[in-house]
Amino acid sequence: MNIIKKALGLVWLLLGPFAAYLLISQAIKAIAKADTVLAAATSDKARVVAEAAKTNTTLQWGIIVLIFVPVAIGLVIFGKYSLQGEYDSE
Amino acid sequence: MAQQGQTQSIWKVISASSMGTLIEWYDFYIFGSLATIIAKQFFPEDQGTAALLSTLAIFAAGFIVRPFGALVFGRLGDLVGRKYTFLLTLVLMGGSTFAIGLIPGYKAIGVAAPLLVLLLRLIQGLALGGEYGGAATYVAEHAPVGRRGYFTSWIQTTATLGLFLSLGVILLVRNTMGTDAFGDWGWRIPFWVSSVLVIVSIYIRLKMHESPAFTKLKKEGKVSANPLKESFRKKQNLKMVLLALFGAVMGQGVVWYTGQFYAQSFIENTCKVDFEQSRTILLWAIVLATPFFIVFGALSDRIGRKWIMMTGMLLGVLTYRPIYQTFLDYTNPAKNEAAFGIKSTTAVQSLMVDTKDAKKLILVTKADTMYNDGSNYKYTITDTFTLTTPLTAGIAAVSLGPDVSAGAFIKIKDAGEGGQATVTPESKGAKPGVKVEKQVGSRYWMMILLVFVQILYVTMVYGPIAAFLVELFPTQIRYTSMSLPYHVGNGVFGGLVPFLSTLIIEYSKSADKPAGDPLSGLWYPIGIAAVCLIIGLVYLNNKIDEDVSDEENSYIHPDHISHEQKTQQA
Repeated sequence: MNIIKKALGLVWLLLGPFAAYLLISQAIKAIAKADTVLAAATSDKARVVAEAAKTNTTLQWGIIVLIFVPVAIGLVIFGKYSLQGEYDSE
Repeated sequence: MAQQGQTQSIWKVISASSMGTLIEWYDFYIFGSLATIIAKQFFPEDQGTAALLSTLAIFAAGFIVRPFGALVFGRLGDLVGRKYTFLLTLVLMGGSTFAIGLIPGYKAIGVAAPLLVLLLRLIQGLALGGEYGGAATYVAEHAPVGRRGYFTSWIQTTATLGLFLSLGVILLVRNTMGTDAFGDWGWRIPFWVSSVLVIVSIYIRLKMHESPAFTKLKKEGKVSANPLKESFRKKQNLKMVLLALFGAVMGQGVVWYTGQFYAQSFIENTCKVDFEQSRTILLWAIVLATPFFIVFGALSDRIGRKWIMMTGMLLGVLTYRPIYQTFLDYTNPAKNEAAFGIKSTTAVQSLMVDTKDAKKLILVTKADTMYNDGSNYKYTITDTFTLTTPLTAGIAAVSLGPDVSAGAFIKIKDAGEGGQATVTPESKGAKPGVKVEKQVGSRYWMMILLVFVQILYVTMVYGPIAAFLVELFPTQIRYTSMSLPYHVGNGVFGGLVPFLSTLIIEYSKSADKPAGDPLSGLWYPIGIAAVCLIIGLVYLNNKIDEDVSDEENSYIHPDHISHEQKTQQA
């Protein structure tokens, strides 16, 4: 079991940065999409709605990235501890 | 006799703690349950700033402020004691909830309204972050040896019962006063109800004593000087915080949110079951499943916490997709017709001139189908047509019906000088407004059963988790250490279920499937629960720590001795 714990440690170590990358790239994609909608807005009303949507999207993703990046770092530390045998059974 | 006295005392502890925690969950959920009305009152969509504040209120309160509250109040609880800290969180939560019910709407005071709501919502998030850890710790430190899972499971019922209470009060008030009055001002009543409950709860909590474990620690002068530093800077403890988060609470959070919030939202918004039925299905399921929090909490005292929690996660991973597919099948008109047959169908069409544009005609088609099992599906389709010539004095006569061969779809006789105008299919607006409302018939109880099964998984992962977390950390820093992983796992991983599931459904949209795959959103909770299951299976042990008073002041479980300590021991 200790070998499995250590081997999985490597998985968690890599999963942390991968999850952070995935999240940040999704955030960039979503904000860019909201930007496109704003640029395509023709009427004043549509522009107001699109602007609000863009700000909301940026804010939502900003909060998600802000809270998930430390969690991803936590996963890396968890992986590091696993590799070091900190969770090994006696 | 002494045993009897102890039992009576623990029941007082449980009732005082549970009631307060139940009210805190109730307060937190009524805001979410009334989100649509609150948005209309305080966050109008066409007002950029107000809409922005709405996002902040929803996202920041759940995802940033809750974990932050866990740190602030956790630290306070480890420094000054459990009793006064969770009394403070109750006052903050009750006060802010009552105040939300008093704020005038956006129309009355402009942007000050959403700003005040945001501020109070953030206080709610902060208070909730500090409440749970305190209540769970307080009960666990009073619980007799060998029954910690059973006694803390009463605290575990409060989150689900808080949801039940919030839905119940909302339905009761709405049905009593009518939908219009409720949308106008009646929505404030559930917020005001909270104040009565909070006053009673504060009175009860004031009469309680500090937990014996913390009192002992204080007497001996062993209270932590810096709980935050000790919790997260010391490797022996940080590794347990991470293990709790990734090996248990993360999965518990997604199972909790999927089984209750996502289930209700899916039934209402994807299956289009009406407002009342979608809520009563959840209410019945909660009533039937809640006793199992106690069952699994008590069982965890006998067989350990790990396997019960892992079984709940495994069942969720394996059965979520079949369960949600069944929801879709049960509310599919074609499948319902094949299974039960149609009892009656009525369709009514009405045509009117758009009051804002005389060249636009609005055709409303209302179809109502009753099935033999009592199901009822209602469709309202609103089509917009552009007239060949504008009407001068409204509609005098209409001949409806598709007459495509003659090139006309609807013939309209003008009441004024304009003569006859025709509407062709080509002039029809691209996107008709479609409103679907379904009532489930004989399968109502099957729907309840399917939600019940999901809440049963919730009881498996959530029932034993308070005892599990309490046993993982020492008294000095227990409040801080268990609160953070709990609120990150539950609030962040769980709270993001609706957002990330909707996002995944968006990505599943294609030219072939413009609505996307409604089941694809389940991959988020399934994925998180699966990773948590693997970590839990491999890394968690199933031992129960009999003594949480830390007689030997041990920071860690015997099976998780640090590398340095092993070296030292060697």
